[in-house]
Amino acid sequence: GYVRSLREESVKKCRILKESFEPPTLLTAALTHISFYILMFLGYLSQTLFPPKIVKEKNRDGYPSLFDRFASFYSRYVYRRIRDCWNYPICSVPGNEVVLKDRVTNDNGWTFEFVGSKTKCLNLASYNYLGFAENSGPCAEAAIDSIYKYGVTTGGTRQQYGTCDLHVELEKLTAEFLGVEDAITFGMGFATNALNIPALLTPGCLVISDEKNHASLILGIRLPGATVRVFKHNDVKHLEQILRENIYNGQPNQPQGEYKPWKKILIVVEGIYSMEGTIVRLPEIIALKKKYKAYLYLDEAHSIGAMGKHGRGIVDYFGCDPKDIDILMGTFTKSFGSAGGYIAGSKELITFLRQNSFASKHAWAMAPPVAAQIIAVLKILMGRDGTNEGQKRIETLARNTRYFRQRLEQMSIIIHGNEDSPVVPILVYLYSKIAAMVRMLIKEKIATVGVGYPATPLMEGRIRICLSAAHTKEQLDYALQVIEKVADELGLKYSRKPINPNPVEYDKIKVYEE
Amino acid sequence: MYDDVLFEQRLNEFKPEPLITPIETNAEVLEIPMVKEDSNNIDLAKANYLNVLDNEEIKKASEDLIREYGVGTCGPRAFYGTTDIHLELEECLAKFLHMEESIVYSYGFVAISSSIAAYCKKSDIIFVDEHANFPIHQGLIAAKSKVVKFAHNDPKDLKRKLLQVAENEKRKSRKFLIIEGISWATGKLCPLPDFIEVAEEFKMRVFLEESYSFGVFGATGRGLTEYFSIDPTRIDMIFGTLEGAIGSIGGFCAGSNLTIEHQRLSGSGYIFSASLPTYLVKVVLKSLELIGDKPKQLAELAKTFHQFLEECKFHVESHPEAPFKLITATPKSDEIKIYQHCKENGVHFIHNDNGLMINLNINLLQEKDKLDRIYRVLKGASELIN
Repeated sequence: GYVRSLREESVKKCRILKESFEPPTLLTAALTHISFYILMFLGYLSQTLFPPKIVKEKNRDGYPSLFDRFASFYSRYVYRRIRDCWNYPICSVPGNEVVLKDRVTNDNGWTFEFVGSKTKCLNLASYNYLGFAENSGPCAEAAIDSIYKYGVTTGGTRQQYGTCDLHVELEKLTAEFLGVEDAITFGMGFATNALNIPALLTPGCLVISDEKNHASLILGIRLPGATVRVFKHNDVKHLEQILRENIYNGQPNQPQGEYKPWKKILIVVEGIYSMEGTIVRLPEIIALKKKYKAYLYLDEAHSIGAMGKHGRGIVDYFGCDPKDIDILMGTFTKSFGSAGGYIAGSKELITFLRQNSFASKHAWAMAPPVAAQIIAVLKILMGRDGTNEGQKRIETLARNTRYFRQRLEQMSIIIHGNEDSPVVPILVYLYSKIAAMVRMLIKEKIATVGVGYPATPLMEGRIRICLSAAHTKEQLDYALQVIEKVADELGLKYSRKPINPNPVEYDKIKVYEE
Repeated sequence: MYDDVLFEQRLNEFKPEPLITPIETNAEVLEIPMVKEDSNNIDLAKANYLNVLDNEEIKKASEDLIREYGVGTCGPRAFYGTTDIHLELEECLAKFLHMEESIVYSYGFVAISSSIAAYCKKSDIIFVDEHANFPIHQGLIAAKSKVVKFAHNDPKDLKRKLLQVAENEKRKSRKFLIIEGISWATGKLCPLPDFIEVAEEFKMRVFLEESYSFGVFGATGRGLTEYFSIDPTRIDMIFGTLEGAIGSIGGFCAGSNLTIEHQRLSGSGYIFSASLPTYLVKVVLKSLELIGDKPKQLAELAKTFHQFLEECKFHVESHPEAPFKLITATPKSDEIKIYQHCKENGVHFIHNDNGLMINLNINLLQEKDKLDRIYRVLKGASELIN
């Protein structure tokens, strides 16, 4: 059913979170389990009857095997059957339409060959929330100018002759955009998490991380040797329970059972979870962190630019104070059409990172064209280019999101996540349905992403759609029409909720009402 | 069940450490900006060995590519972030290195650490050089394997340590050897044939890290396998950053089909990250296309420079043909003196924990007066400390 949450106590505005996680029927769950066992059985059968072509390594007789057996079995006999749904090569800019390079497999998925033709598809897969993945326009021009002014890369680390004016300008603008004192940028979003969290933690610290956190966060938390506790996805009560337990018990395994409090406690959450489409319960978590004296790390990889009245992320969406969050992190890959990541916060924190971050010391600085593109996008979003293009895009995205989600729910298709999240996972449950749906959609010229085990729980295969401000109403209508057709054919109308019979009108949708 | 009163007391007394250790206010400059090359300043700090960063053809190719594909790819490799240019690069790299397949990462640091973590598990033993670089260390921590260090570039010490381990282990474990072609810390060349002999005797997997030797060593720039004339299939994986001689951003791994396919499903820095921006991929492709005889020119320059430094009585750690020169001095304050003297006279290079790192550039062969000026300034610095 619907989960409602009202923020308590000292926070000003009030926002009701509408999220839904309708569970499947018992029959569906049972069928999904059975289908998976059949797949595994067929896989084992194939492995015994048809050994793979590439079996032997050269010059490696008598060596212990490099890979574990289950991983190679899974990859060759289960994943291979539907391998064609992923890694599809494109040959255009990933805007609201993308050109796919057609390929076929003549040997059941072992190898692929290009046919030579190209297909233009509606792009519901790329992380292009604000539509800034463009190959022309002010952002692309700024990127190209910077190539001639600064070079294709700066050729060094930030600490050793790799910093250029663009980095300084970008960091200033980012800090202003987010409403904090200072920011620091890095060349890769994954590395921003994996290389900076270790600089903040030591053994003796406690990290409480959400169940569904991204792999880069998990890696960054594991590396420094701090203790990790996981709380159930977005479950604030469980988080509070863990906080209370750990403040009460302190560090475990102390000599003579004496009480030793943790050095520091860090809560790590994301803004929008990319596989679930949920939005973090930020105001409640901020209240908790203040009460229990913990620090908060917020990873806004998907939400920066895509959420909030002014595109400033989850903090803007809830109207919270950015200074309440100790470490704000985000990436420029999604809404900004570029690459790289940032961390923002107090001047003290950022100066510390400039000196001690592994990325500043050992990894190359962000390339100038990448930085120039982000600066151009930030200026548009803040309205500094003299137009209201930024605001228009933010509103279009919000409107597209609500429209698409409401229409999908009307079709009795189960979707997860918050009604305002531009990440829309359509639950299909069965492994084989993921492949069937992706292939059927590509035939109808729509590019989508199917996700299954191990990125999601075993029984919850899904098709994940990423909406964009660049999508027009006509494109969305076409997509919805095709999805309805495919849902009928494949039997995806699992929802048993009552449907709102009134037609959803695009222009009448209210976004960011107070 | 717990005691509420005790809990309230402990909560009140809980004083967490500050999030960060406070920094001294008079710390030195944290980030050094790029050198603006003009008549007074010469840039020997940028890693621009084959002069890719100043090449007009490469810049034009990047511009054309941005006009076609945009800047970012907006997705990981599995979700429509693979462009035909990425596939072309992977094929080109594999062919260039005479390996079966290659994989491209979007950051050099992550390429090195993720690829180690993709293969090495808790029950394995990894042998690394005592001066292995930082990304390798991060990879080792992520892999949670047992680590044994051997003396710098010493195959005999490796053999000793191997025999020790083989004697003491109860169950035969998988063993890996990770070596750097050109050491990041000392610039010395690793004696690859000797290492491979030891590895083959003990059935160890060999991972060769070639960030600073790829595009530099060998007649066509293929790296150490060409320089020592070794069959590349004797090495399990060649990996490294594309940020050295190639002048782009990103990292690569090359090996047999079986080896590299494994990383496409277990390399976390590959799966969970957006793909490399397309124009940077094009920079690598163009750079490989235009490589010509640049490695040979660089080798000449490196040898002459090395000879000059030795004549000035500097203590040069790095190999004569290495693309960067690493000068150390005792006491450490002498290094600072050299660094300051050269900076004041307009010759800029890097000073880090390993010593003074001078990055060469082949266009110095064309600009004789620049090279002479550098020699003059360095000679002046050497007279300061001797």
